[in-house]
Amino acid sequence: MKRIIFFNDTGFPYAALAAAIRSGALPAHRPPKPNELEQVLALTGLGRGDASVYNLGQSERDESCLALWSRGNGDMVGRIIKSFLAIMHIDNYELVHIKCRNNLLATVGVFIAGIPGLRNVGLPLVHRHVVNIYRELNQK
Amino acid sequence: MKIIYHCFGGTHSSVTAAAYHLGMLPPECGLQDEDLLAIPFFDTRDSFDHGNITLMGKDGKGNDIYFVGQRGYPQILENITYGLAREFNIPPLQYKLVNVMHKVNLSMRLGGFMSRRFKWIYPGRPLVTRGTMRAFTNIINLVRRVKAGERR
Repeated sequence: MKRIIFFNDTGFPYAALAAAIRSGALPAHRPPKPNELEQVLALTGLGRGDASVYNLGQSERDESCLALWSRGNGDMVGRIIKSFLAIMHIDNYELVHIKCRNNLLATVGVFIAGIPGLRNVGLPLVHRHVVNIYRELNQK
Repeated sequence: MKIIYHCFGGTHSSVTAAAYHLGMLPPECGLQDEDLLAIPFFDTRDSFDHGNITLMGKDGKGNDIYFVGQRGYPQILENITYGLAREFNIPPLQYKLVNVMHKVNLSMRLGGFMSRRFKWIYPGRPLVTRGTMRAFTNIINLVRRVKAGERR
């Protein structure tokens, strides 16, 4: 089975969202509703990104959709993935670098959502940001 | 098994550990500056090599010995390798990550930074070489533990 590995290095889980769109966990033809987004973020979290690998399910074409993200060091992360899989003689994968950038809305939303008791205040801001960049994510 | 030594820049301590593992360095007491400088990749790698897992050689038991630089983020390297191994069904016994960064001393940090970041080869390389010689006992003790673990 082919694996698609989405990754980004902005500290926001764009890769997880792109993988969720590909796997069908998020709708492809319209922006997600807040509860749909929350279901995906409940799996992956909104953390700063420690490059943990998440499996967001399988696409219609039977591809396994993986996601990981970090804060900075995107070039190194890409090289680690490629070289590790190369030394293990694995080549049935596709690496997708998501290049969406963070903005103030996302940064503030993630910060507020991380404060205990204020998750319900921060998540709508995150949702607003995701709706804004959804078309770009959907093209990946 | 694939044994991957990793450190900050992947060019001093991890390369030294990999070289000792492969028998490319004399025992502790006979080590000279020239021995270290003769190791392939010693004090030669740059930031665009970080993350590139590079083969150093094959040891007597058939293990492939690699080294890599992780810019001081060992958890990124570990999370990616363990996560990918889980998703691609790679058995945990096929590879081992060994962090050599704990064995690095101040001379190595300072010399390595001068030599690799600022390209001040003259003061940097002798400093990092001296530091590596001072840390050599700790590095080879780590390698011996790795090799002993292999025997078990």
